[in-house]
Amino acid sequence: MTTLCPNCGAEITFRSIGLSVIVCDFCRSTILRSGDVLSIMGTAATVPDTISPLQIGTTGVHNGASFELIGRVRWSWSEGEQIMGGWTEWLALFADGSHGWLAEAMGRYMLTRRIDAVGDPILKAVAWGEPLTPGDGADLAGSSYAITDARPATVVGSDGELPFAAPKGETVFSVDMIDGAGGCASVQKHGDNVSAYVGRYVALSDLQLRNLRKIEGWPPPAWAAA
Amino acid sequence: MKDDPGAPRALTCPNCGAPIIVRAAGLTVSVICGNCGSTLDAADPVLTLIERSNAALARPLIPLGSRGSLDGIEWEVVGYLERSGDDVEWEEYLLFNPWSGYRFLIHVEGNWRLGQALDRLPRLDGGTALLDGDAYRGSDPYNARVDFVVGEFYWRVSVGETVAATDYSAGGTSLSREDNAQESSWTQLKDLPPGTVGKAFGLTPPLGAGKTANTAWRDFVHSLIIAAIGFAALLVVLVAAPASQLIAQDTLLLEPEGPAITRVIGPVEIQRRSSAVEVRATTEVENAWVDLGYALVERRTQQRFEASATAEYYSGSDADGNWSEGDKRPASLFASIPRGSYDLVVEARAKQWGGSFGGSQPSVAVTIGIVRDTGFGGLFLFAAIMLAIGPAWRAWRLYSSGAGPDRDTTW
Repeated sequence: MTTLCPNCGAEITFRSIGLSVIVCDFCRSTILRSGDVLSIMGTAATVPDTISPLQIGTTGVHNGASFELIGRVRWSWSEGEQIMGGWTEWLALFADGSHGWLAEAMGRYMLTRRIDAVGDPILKAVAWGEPLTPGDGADLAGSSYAITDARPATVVGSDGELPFAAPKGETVFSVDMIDGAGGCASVQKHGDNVSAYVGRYVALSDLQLRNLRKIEGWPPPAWAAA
Repeated sequence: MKDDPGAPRALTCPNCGAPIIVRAAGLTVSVICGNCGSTLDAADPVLTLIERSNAALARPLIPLGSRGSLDGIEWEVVGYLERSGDDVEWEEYLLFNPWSGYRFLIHVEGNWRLGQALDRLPRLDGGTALLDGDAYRGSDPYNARVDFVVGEFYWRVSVGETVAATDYSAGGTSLSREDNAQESSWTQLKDLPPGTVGKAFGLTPPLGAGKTANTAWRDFVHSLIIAAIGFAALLVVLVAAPASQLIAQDTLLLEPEGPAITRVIGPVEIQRRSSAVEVRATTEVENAWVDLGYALVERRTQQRFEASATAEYYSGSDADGNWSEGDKRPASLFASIPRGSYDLVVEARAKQWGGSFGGSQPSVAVTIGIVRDTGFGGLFLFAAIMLAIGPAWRAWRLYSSGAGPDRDTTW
């Protein structure tokens, strides 16, 4: 669906049916869509440049399902005043209209999807703000994981289409977990809502990626040519 | 947006003004300036200073920015760490590729290993780690400390940082587990065949190339020739006996019980094949001492010669009257430094006794003088012994090389 930005009049295109938020490429307004009604929720902060080979418009295939990256949120985490690291979550819109997240952190990639988990103690622990220690075990949706980190994460900036508005400075509490065979999961608390995501570590070379971003000084690898 | 390629960020060190290239923008969190050693915050777009430094930097064997292919992937060297355990030292290179992420290239006791952070958790069963159906036997835990760091890293890194490490090995593959207060991280390491790293990064002589008996014999002959030339040179020098000469001097101001200060003094030019260099420290200490560490580092080859000294002076009085002891002017001798252009890296720290015997100096000035070609008596004998070590060592290598593969790759 193509329409005009209610703030600046630039053309904006929703590629998804279900996602409710888009950031205008031109004026960076965060626009909420509700049926045919568009409303402005504020201005999204710019995502600082990173050397990522991914970009909005990159397409790929995972487990036989093709996807396109149509949005991103850049997050950071801090200890005290100091930023300790950052990562990017790319919103992958699958051909069937569902979506997942391709997270890019420390040079590694995880593809996860939101699940409707109920009853696992880890969900309650995150909801109630109980202390969680890296290394502790946690079960989620029938799988066993170990917690790798549990910490607040803050939005740095956002782009494109997203299932939620991500204003700069918005903070969630995020718990990341891995298993012994490449599986990963995370549980996040935003306000009073707790959501769970499960998926796997992936290698970019396994995702049949196209329309990757060029990187100065680095010829693309053979699998990324075309 | 799609036409805007990703690029390294070119910035300037806020401490010394040297250009800094952030090669993995968005991933890099810490940058240590290659010129002055200051630690910078790369998570901040303007590269703020975290820790100021003017330390001289060891230059890694494989320079930062070098590229080479390992495991079929082209890597760029973006970071370099020197680390030590309870009784071992090693070097770690952080390698980066924008599509493949990071690898660690580890150089320990002449062997190279390529490591990758694990994205899955080994299962621990007593002292054994189980991963992908393989059992890895664990070592005793040891403390791993960061001794030196330069380049860029995706984590906060600092000299002195210590983690508890455990190695688990199974043949040519091992797992390394490092625990700090917040997290435990696992790396899988694979031994690289000799010569791989030297070939990949275009280094000569090839690194990690095991030496054969033939080359051991050649080394022995070479070392004999070098020793013979050395003796001849020593005799010539003994006849000519050049006067000693002060070639550089600098003064450091230390705070007792304060932090160590590092200073680089140079250049120290050695024009002859080999010269003696003496480092003389002069200080006025009272019931205090100054620990001095010296490293003469050749600018191009990074060959290092190390020495240490203590300047100390204690005095007091007892039943026998006044007493004093100590040496306020210790001299350290580097007996035969080969031709080259060197920097002297001085690390100095002042200490004093506490309590009623304690020193109370607010600061201690230490003057470091570098003198070339000093006294010849004992020096001659010492140099002769040093010259004999080479052939003796090579002869032993020659003898031992017949009895199995040679792991030694230092040259």
